[in-house]
Amino acid sequence: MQNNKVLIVDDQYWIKIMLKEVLTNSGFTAFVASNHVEALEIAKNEQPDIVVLDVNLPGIDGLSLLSSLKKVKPSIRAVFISASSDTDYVSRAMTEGALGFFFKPFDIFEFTTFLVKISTSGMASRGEGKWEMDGGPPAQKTS
Amino acid sequence: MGDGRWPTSAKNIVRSIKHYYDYLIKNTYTIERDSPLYVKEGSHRILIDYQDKEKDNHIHAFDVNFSVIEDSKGLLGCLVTYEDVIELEEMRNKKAQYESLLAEKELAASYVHEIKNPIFSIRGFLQILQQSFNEDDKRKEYTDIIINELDRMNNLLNEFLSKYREHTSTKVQNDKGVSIKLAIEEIIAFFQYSLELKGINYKLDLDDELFVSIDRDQLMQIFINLIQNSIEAMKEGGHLTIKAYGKDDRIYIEIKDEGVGIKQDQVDKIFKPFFSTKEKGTGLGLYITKRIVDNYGGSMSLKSTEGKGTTCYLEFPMKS
Repeated sequence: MQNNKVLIVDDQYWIKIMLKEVLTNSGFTAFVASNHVEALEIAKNEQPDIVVLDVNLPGIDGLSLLSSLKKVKPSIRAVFISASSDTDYVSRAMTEGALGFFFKPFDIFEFTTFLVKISTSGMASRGEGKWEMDGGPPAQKTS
Repeated sequence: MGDGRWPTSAKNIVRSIKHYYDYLIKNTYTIERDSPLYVKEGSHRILIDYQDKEKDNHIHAFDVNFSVIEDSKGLLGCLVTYEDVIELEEMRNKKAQYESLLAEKELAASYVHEIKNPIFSIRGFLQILQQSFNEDDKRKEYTDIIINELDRMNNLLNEFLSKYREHTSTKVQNDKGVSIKLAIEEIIAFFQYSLELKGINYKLDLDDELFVSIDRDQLMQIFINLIQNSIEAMKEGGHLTIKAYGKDDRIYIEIKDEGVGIKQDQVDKIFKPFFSTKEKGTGLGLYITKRIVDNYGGSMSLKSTEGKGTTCYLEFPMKS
């Protein structure tokens, strides 16, 4: 499988281990980080194709970490996971280029199917798609 | 009644205050009883009973501050400032009540999130474990039961949180109301990956200028429930069509799916609490949805053909 390096960022120890296990079983190479320092370090060294980001991380939120990660690897694709169902955060994440949003507890096989799909289809993140089409920054959502 | 200040001579302080209050109060209130005022320089709290025509009896308290203004020749006058402390206190109480409700909600939400994390790791490891069992293995059945029970716990947690949301959600919207078009587009973006995974094509035909006077979170709740039902019904994929248009001060919304549909004898029961056609349904989704719609002066109905699909019709009064 192409584009198969996944970085999982979650401060919950067992969730990290569990997701790594299930993604490894599906043919991904998975790395885990529990905070933004570890995440950026791994991103630099391993250049992951996909990042699975928990929304609530110690001292930082997932979207802020994503923008730092994009400086290290601009083409990185993000999938968010969260135990809270804050609809405002979901729409912000989706407009800022997240490909998916999963609420814990979710079905891990649906999740891996989704990751397999985005890693094989070469589906660009929405933000990037816009950049390519318009040659400019993503359009601001009117509200 | 607000705050104010006015200068007066020493002799007139008492009369002026009374007169001024009379003047202020007479337009709205009748003074039932007034205590004589003896004032010295400094701060005083003065109680005045009066009747508020719109509310019940009220005792209002004013913090009044007297400052003597003198020059070398003696007393020139007195500056009196006052503040209606009851009104202030009421405002503070309301604010404190609201803040403590918010704090309670935050606390409840963080407990719920803390519980959801272990539920998720348990559920995930169980799914991994299940892979090693055959279909006819009793352990497969048992782990299925555990997973279902975990999902039930999760649903209960969500219902618990939505109770708090009802109490604290801001009822204030902008003057225009909530845009139906933006709300539906947002929900579709939210369901994007489920739609793609299930091979569902969607078509939106939404007029721009449709605004409804409703709490935004509750409107989102309505569409989340209905669209999720449609997605769950379309196990084999198909088309999802959502239309919204305005006519004669009413907004009409149609959500049409090509899902499994509902048996004719079940259509009548579909809005009843704890009735569900889904294996894992709580039977509350459509019941709650209909209640929200009714609360806002709208109406809701379903037409369904088993095996062909379901169309849900919503109607709302347009925000004028």
